[in-house]
Amino acid sequence: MNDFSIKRYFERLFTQFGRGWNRFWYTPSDPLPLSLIRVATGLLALYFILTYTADVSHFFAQDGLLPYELTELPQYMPDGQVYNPATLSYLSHLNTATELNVAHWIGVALLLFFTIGLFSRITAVLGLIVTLSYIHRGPMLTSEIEPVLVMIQFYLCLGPCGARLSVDRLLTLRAAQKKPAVAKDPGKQKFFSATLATRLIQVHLCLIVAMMGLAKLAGPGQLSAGPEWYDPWGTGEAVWWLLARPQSGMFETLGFLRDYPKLIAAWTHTIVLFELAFPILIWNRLARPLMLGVALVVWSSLALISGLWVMYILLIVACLSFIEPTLLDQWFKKRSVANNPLNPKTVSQAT
Amino acid sequence: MSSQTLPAKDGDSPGIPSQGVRTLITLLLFFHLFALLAGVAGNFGARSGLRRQLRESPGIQPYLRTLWMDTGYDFGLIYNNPYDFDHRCQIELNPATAGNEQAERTFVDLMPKGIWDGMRQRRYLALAQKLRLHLGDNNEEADLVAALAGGMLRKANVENGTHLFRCLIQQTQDLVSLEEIAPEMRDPEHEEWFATFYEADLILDQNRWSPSKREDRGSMTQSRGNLQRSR
Repeated sequence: MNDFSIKRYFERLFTQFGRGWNRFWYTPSDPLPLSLIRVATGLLALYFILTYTADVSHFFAQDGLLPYELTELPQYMPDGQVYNPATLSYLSHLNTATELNVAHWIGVALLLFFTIGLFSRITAVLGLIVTLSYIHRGPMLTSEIEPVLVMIQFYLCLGPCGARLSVDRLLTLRAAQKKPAVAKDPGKQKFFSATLATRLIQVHLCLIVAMMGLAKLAGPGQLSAGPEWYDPWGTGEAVWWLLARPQSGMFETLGFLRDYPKLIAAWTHTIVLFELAFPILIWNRLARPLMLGVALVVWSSLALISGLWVMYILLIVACLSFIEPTLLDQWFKKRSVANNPLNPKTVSQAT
Repeated sequence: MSSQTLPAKDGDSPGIPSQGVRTLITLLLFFHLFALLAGVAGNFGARSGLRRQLRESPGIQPYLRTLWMDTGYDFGLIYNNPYDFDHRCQIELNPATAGNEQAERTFVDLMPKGIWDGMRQRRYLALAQKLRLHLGDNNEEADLVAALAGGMLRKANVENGTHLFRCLIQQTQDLVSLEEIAPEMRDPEHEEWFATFYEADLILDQNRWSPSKREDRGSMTQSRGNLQRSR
């Protein structure tokens, strides 16, 4: 290969990459998947916040389990911390039970607005701030659930997540009834920001699943004490160990599986294999429906036995980003046609 | 960021944003994706110096930390080590001393009784587990124990006395060795599945409960899974 052809190769490479990049991130698309993800994520975020109701003052009040001063102690700050994230939480500035409860219910209301799609561009951002405030105020209360919840909420802020399946759209349609010449139905528009947000969810989801799979092969990152680590995912016993955790609540129900070690091993190995294959095969159009189906089965099973059902439901919700908008649109078509005031039949009835 | 589709320039497909907008968004995308990868590289598994430095690149950590994305997503769920298992904290009120061993024992649990909700339950389990992670030779856990004990005792309306703060680990039941053990041990609540890994006397000092660690009770029994394999 001579210099001339090398130059041409790189020219072609950069041109093709640029076109592919633009097509991947910026091709306008229907915001329906994003809107559906908003509804599901909003419900789970609401659940996340509502479960704090009984504990918000017990955890965060000045005389509670985690007074603000505790977050300022260096030994409880995350590794390599450059600032105290608790300062970003509005809950850090509230001390009494009354103040915390008022703020809590305002947060619930904001997330409710976000879920139903009322002022969704604003409530998406405010909802994210609410969720992050709880996380930053009590990082010691967090588990694997919060990073996945925040990831989806963050990307929903970037796209028109309230363009469909929302109160916002209903309000626009009502306005259109009054001034049909001016109002545009956002549900019929395509947005590049819908593609951007959807793509970011897809890419981030693949990163998470890949790391989850690798973590099951690699073992714990740090083990400073305790007995020597052995590999329950390799030996095929991991599902049993998850089942047998007393707090998982599934031991009594699924304890009979102890008599079927091969089934447990197959279940364990399927989880690892799936999580390693998903980030690659999901990009293949032919394999995508299969991967989505397996994701539903595998993550539902993990939701049952791991005690982390919110996280696995969130992962399934994030998978909606891989479903073609046209396919989703077909599911919603009958309903949207019937409810759409811009539909000629409906408009003629209204006038 | 504008969500409306902008006028296309020559050569662009309709609806694709203008060149300037695309350039700006692409730069932001590069930063975000680099930050995500640096966060994963700097948090996942064993880390080289380069991986740690990537995570410490200017602006990366504050950005990721603010968005709660500073993680390796290493959700392995279970490794059969003590950090996997359920942890509980409790306070024994006025524990038995020489002479009153027969007195009824009263406990205040960190996790309120009767929690059916998995998310609430998980927060209390996570809190007890974080305490284990902070156990150290330099008494690093003392402030956390003092805060937890203070909150627990205030909620139970206990204002004085000398109490015992205790953290327990609740081990799971081994798949193989369960066949060999007595039937009553199949109950996950059986007391032999619990091991104490931290004990401290709580002493009221200027309206604050201060823990005094009992050094001789820090050991944890080995999990039955490992016992089985070492036989």
